[in-house]
Amino acid sequence: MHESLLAWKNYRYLKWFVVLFVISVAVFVSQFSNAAPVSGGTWQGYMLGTVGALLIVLLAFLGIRKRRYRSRLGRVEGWASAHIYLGILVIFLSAMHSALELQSLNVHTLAFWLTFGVVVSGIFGLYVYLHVPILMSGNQSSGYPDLWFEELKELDQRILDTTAGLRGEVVTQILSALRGTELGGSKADQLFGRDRSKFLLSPLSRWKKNTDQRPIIICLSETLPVAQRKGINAESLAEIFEFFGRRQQLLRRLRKDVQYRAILKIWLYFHVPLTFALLVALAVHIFVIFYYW
Amino acid sequence: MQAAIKDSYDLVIVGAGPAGLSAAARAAEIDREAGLQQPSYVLLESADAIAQTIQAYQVGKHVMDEPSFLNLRSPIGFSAGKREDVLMRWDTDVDAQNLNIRYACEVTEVSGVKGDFEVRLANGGSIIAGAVIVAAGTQGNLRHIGVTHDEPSEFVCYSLADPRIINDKHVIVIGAGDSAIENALALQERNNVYIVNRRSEFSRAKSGNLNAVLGSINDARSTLDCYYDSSVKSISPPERSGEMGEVTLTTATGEVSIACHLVIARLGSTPPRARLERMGLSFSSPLPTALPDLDKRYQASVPGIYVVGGLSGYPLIKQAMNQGQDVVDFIAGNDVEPADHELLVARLGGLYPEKTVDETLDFFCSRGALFESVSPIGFRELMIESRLAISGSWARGESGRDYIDGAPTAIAGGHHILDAGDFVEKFYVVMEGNLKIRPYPGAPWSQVGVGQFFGESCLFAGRSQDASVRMGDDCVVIQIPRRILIKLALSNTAVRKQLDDAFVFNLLKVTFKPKIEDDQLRLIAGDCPTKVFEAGNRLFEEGDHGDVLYVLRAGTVNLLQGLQQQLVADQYAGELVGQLSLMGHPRRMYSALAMTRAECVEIDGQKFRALLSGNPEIRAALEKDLTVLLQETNTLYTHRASAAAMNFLMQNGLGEATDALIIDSSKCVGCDQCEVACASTHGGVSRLKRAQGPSLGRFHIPTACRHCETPHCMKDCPPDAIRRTQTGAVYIQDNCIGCGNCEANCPYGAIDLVAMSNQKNGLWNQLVTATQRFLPSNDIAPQEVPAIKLAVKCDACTTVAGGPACVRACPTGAALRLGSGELLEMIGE
Repeated sequence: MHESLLAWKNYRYLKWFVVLFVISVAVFVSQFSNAAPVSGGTWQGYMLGTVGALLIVLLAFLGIRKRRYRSRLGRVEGWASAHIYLGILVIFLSAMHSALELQSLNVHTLAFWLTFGVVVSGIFGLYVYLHVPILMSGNQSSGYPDLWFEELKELDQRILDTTAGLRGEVVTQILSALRGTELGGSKADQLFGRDRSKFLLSPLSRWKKNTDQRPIIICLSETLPVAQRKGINAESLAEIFEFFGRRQQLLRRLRKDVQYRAILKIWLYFHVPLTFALLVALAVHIFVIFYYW
Repeated sequence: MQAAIKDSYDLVIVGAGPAGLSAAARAAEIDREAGLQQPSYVLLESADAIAQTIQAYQVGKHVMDEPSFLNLRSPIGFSAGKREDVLMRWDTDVDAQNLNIRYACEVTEVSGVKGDFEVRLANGGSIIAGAVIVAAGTQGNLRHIGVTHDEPSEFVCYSLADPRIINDKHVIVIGAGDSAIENALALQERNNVYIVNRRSEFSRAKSGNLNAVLGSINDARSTLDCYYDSSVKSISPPERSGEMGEVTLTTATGEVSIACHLVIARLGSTPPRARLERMGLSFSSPLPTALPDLDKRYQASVPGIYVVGGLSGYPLIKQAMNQGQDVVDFIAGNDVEPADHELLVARLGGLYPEKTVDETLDFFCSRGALFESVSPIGFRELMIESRLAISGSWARGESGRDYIDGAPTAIAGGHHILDAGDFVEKFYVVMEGNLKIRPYPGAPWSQVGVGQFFGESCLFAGRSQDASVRMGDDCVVIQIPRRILIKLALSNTAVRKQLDDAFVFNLLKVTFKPKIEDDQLRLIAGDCPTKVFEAGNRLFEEGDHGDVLYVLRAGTVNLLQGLQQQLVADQYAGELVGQLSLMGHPRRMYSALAMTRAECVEIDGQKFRALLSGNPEIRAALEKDLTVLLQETNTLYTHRASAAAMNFLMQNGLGEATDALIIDSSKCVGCDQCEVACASTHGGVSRLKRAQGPSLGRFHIPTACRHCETPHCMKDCPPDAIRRTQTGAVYIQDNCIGCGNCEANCPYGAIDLVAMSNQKNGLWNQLVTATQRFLPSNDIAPQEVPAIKLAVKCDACTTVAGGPACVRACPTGAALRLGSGELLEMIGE
């Protein structure tokens, strides 16, 4: 199959990374022969800082390039590949530029820590991008979410139809379990795959948890053996029991899918705002440096 | 009133569609000019209203006025607009001009000679006519139920324009074809529906309809039921409007009476050809698509009978209306030029100043054998759709002339027309000078002279071709669009035969590349029968003793091996199937299954061996090809996972793909950048639906165009709006009329009918609504439907610089565009 994001054009940007990394380490090390102490204020320090700042701006430009759908400036995949390698390089450049003088907290160190945050969230994003799609496609081995929703709708309809022939508390349990089924929910619920489904045992009882549909299935499995004795249509109930089993499988798959999607997006909630903050902090950092030259 | 109608007319016009109305209106005009009190013509319509084909359109459908280059010439008004507006305008014009129309008047027979025809009617009457214009359209007359009270009424109808206006009713649908099923399915959502099927199964239905209707019938909850093996015995309409009537059926188990509000009968129609033949008209060939023989004035082989509109091969409204007017003028002896005259003047570009348009066309027709059997009107149509390419002295002075749309194009001698690997959408016929051609890379250049042609190899196979073609010096070439030539070949056996022979000859020439004399090859080519295998049939079985080799000329054949019938290779047009048993192993190693309709040239073993015996070079080349094939098949046979993947892809139609979007789901992060990119480069409507479509392992096939070898969508496009570029991209031009044929014909759901908006989505907008999805506005409520819905599909970004936007926008490289060959390679890895 096609090469991976990291291997774009035969590892073009890994090569760039190695070359730039070696050069910048050499530049950094050359400071040690100076009389002055190692810092961002030496010509080497300025150089590392300038290259780092330019790279940050270039990397942030990915956000614009990927929305320029008519742009002929390379493929987005290439940009993403460069973004990864050069982004990792930036953290080394920043470290060498600052010579790790990070003891106090001011706009300069803030810029460093923001860079650190952006890069770390980016690395997490890369990890997620490389691994979650595989899990997701495994989960989608039979069908895809739109199809599952269709199936779920059909199952629910069949449960409703079959329930029409039943009487008693079991009807409340079944109908409330359908009504009380939840999928998605808050961002955190999605991310952790939390299931807030609930159901009623009887019309007057309080809502009970129906996590993973297990409680309702247990409830039905307890009613089934006594159905005939209680005058409940056991055949219909058995059918519904089976439907709930299939429903559980579908909901699991859907919930997993929702969770994977959430994981694929969550890191951007950190990466992008931190990037904006970084750009501001960087601008202030540069302005302050030159203003108080 | 009936008595007032005289039953002898100079002119009888059959069919009150666009062509018939236009003819009648022109006849009325001539009558008025002559000061006649009584009409000299009558217009006969079998139904109870005008324009049945357009009446049957869905409510609110936009009717287009293609072709835009043609001016309307008719006393009846027509411009693009909603179905209702078009019909209302015609009704108004018919009333205003007081046309002499008889409704519910079906013509059963025409006999006699020019000046004295007898037109017999289904109601028993007859009319004497001087001349007859047949403008009955291609739909034919709707079949009726055949019992008392079966005439169209409030209770019984033969079409269903808008199922949404029928609610909470009991409806009986009679018929088992697609239109009956579609009506029944649409109605069952809000009504109780019974479908009456004369047979025990729905054998004529398309598979989609079949599944849907069987699903509904077998679903106890649905409001649709079916009476199989049943026919209508009697109909008793309700006494008062709005009440229930009754229909009695004869079923396998006895009679059943059903009360209902409405009976809809969809029993198909009688094909018009039989009726024309009964009138004594001859046709160009026995093929079902053949057209009646007509002269330049639309006169058929029986003098005095004229055929215009859809029946004469002109399916568009404006063409039909123009012909309606022209034919009446011709009959009246007015020497008018047809409406398309100016177009032809432009096409011919004054290359032969001493010849009139008709003379030039006759001259072209006489160049070479190809057009010998083409009727003058057919050739006229062909020239209007074609363009001339000229070079050398023919093109001199071109630059000084004003540019006219459709005028001959000057191409410098030696200039590239086609390169190896191009898809050919044109067919070239040389009228003057020579074209230079190289049949495959590395072959010597040869010439295509006057009357000879090039391009037949791509006509039916739909794959890219191997030849290179250069413009000659002092050359005039007719460039005929592929579709127009296919239309001609499908209606004219003589043209078809010449194309076939040339095709087989060139196919063999490419297959047995060097060293066979053309004469020797031509001998073999003329002698090789073409066999057609319908999809699902087998060319041969594994283990058979094989002494026949096939050269595939169109379609896809899968090679299957072993008990599991494992797919080990797929062979496409231009490739050999079954050579192994002639070259080594005497028994078939594989079974060969036609995946699509496969046309194969059959070469028997004896002939093949004779060919090889004198040509060690050919033998070596073929043996090498075979070695490669064996390696491929062995990999797939022994590698189960690859075979499963291949099976999956073939089942989903990737075998006929030339450029399909595949998503590697192990890399797809679901960001939908592909869809957004597609939408923002294509008027806000994405042509692909990423999340939809089947998956297997890491292969996900989103709903998107595959740019098929022989595109299903191109089959039946009235304005010929679907075209293919030289690189193989299939796209829809602006002259789409939104008829929906392509949407229905595409087996992959890759075409949508969409109300186009021109809303731009800027960067800021996107940042604000980053998750916004672009979806076709299919579910807008009917009242709000904008006037025009057009077909949209992937155009492989032919208009976008830099190539497919979906692939370029994918941040992880999950989106790939591949042809079937590349897919195979990928599976091999």
